[in-house]
Amino acid sequence: MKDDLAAYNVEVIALSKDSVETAATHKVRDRISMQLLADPMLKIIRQYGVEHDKAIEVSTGKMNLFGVHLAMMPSIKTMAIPTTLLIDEEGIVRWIDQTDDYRLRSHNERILEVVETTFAETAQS
Amino acid sequence: MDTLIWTLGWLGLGSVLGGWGHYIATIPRDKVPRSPTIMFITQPTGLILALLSLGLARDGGSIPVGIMLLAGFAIFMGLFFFILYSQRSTPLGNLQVELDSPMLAFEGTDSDGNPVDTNNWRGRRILFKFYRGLW
Repeated sequence: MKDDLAAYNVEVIALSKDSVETAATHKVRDRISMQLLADPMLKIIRQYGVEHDKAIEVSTGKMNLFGVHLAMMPSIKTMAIPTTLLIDEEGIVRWIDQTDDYRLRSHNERILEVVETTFAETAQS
Repeated sequence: MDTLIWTLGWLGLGSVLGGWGHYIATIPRDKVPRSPTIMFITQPTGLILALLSLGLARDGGSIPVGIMLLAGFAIFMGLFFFILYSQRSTPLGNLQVELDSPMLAFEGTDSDGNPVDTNNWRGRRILFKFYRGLW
């Protein structure tokens, strides 16, 4: 996916309500190569109007079973509504995709299709 | 009778956890089903088997601790799925950006603690994602 996007010079940057420390942990744990932004005060999430009040968060618990953290601590948190924006060189929003079911994300195939259509004329092979 | 109780308990837990395992495996593959049919089959099946196991054990006198843990865990995980699933609907926010309009500039911080200024995004193509955070 990353390579496919790189062919169109598209970088992925992701933002959540996680703190700098949590985002750093996430990056290491899941071997994430994209840049993660931390917005614990929900400043940017609110600025963009993608705030989901009272969402159930199943956070990584402190319980540790044979080295595996148990994700078993549900709590109510405010977090971002999963939203994908494609932004071009001029800072113009070229595509918006928002989910009405937080389990479902923008599918990779769909993202690629949009990137291809939007930046078709400038693909680098 | 004991064998039946334990078999039902294990089958119940197997059904519930099997369903969870299958569901979780769909996440990294980007194949989370909109309607999780397998969960709708495995979770109620597991719940019924676990309850049967508990019921039979109770009829036979006291419920062994092992059965309580086994069936209890199956019931907990089965119900937990339905609680999470019932919360799936995400309100659409009051999105402040529009298609073909400029993005909203901001200053933030990345996971290394470095400042991020979207003015530096000029000249770059960015797929900007809001996500729910670590779990």
